[in-house]
Amino acid sequence: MSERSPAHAASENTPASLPGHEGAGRRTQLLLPPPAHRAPGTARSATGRLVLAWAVVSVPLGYGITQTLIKAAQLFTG
Amino acid sequence: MASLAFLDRRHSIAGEGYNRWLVPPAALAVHLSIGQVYAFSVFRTPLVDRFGTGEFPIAVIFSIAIVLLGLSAAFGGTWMERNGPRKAMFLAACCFSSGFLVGALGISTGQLWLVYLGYGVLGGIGLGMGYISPVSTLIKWFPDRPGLATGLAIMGFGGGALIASPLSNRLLGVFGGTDLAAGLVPTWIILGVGYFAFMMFGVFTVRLPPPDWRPAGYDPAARKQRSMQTASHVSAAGALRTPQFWLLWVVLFTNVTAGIGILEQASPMVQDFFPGVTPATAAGFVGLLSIGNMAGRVCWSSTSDYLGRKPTYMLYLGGGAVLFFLVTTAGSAALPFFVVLSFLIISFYGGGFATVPAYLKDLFGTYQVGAIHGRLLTAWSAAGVAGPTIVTLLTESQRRAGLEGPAAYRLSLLVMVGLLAVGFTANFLIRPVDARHHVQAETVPAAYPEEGGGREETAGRTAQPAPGLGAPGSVHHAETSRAERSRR
Repeated sequence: MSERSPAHAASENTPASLPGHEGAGRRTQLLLPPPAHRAPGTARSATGRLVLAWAVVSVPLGYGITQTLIKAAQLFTG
Repeated sequence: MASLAFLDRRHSIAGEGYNRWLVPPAALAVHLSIGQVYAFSVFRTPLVDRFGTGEFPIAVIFSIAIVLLGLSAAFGGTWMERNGPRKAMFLAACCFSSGFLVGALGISTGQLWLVYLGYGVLGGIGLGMGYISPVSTLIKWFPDRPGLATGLAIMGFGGGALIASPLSNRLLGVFGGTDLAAGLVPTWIILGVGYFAFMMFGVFTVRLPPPDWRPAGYDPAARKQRSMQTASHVSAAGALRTPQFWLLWVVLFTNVTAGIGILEQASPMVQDFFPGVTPATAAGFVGLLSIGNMAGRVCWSSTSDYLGRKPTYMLYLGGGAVLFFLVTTAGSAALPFFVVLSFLIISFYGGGFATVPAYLKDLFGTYQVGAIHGRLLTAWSAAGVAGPTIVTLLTESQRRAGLEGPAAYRLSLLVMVGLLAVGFTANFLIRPVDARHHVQAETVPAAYPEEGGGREETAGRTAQPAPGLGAPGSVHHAETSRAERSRR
């Protein structure tokens, strides 16, 4: 059973609240509001950063895989 | 230096809104770069032409790099755990890229020793630090799926050669034309600068999770139901005193040696097994094995999250032994059959690399898993020497005895079967680590003084820690340890 406060349910991307936590500790300040209440711009920029990060590594990896598959095709074409 | 303070562990803690799925591309950026080492053979002939030497002095460059990889991973792991992934990745980027630049200077001035120093020593240190730098961080972010997380990163090491090989060939051709040796210096400079930029993307992107963070829905207590998964922690020094570490060392050594047994001789082997195969077709076979190496790292390692690490290694080692036996006895029956067997063997080779960090996490916890991983990689260094040596010596001895074609490989392949059987036995003998090796709860916080500073910022917290990753020093950690001991 989760020990997080239901009122502060965090996404898997955010630090969890501490049971019995009191005071203005850094952890509670790091809690995001539920996704439904999060500013749309914030969610979009976070998604955009994620897409960009994966694109940065996927493009060269895709190039390498494509080149290798072209070479590997010679195994079947002789 | 104050300007580099952002690399400190204390400044690497994730802030609001950070998504853990940013960590795998950060790790991939590093591994895709250092994976270039597997494509070093592209430079072999141009370097031989440039320096006018035989092949052996040029092959020594690669060997130095691999030895330094093992040494830096083994000795740098504890430093990496203490200073955090960003500093370790930054060090890796500086060393790996400067290795190319120093090497380019050596090529330009005709001084081979500078190439040894550059690509070999500096580059090797970059390889080792780069290899281990993201692993511990990934395991901390993905305690629910460590196999998938580390598989994604270590897949990059296999994928790095897929990028570097065609890219290097193209650069050599652009700058050298038909004289590839003339293209070496600009190629190495471009690679050095390019890899530095790419790895710095990883440095800027990676973060550590806060100490009390865990994924939504992740319940460490439920995960502990698997007897082979601990919620306690063992230090790097303590791990060396456990039989489990050395059994896993044998597992990795045998798996890597066997895989190298195929990789090292893939092209001549397929041509000897099937005399009609042309060099171009053999190159295609090698390319397919590279795909298998990369795919195995992510697919098998991810599968281990569901199968469990020990059963997965039973597949690698036991299944691998069967496959080697089939290659020996029936591999020459048909080319597609031989290709499928080899593809699976090499996928197990890649999977063995990618799954081992998660295995270490299961056995030793997350406290110093990166450092333990670094020390375990000495098995890779040993296999890098043993594998080619076994294969070359045995195959050549069989040829001197008059055996040709598939028969010349039979003895070396059967030796690999035996090695995998040894590895299978070692894996079978692995049991949960005895509690006497677990670190005391109060020991762990002292290892992270910068995080102690961070805790002062949260002085409003109560002393009760959150359930998390079996966080050492927590009440949850002590209860877990007692629960584990009571089950044995």
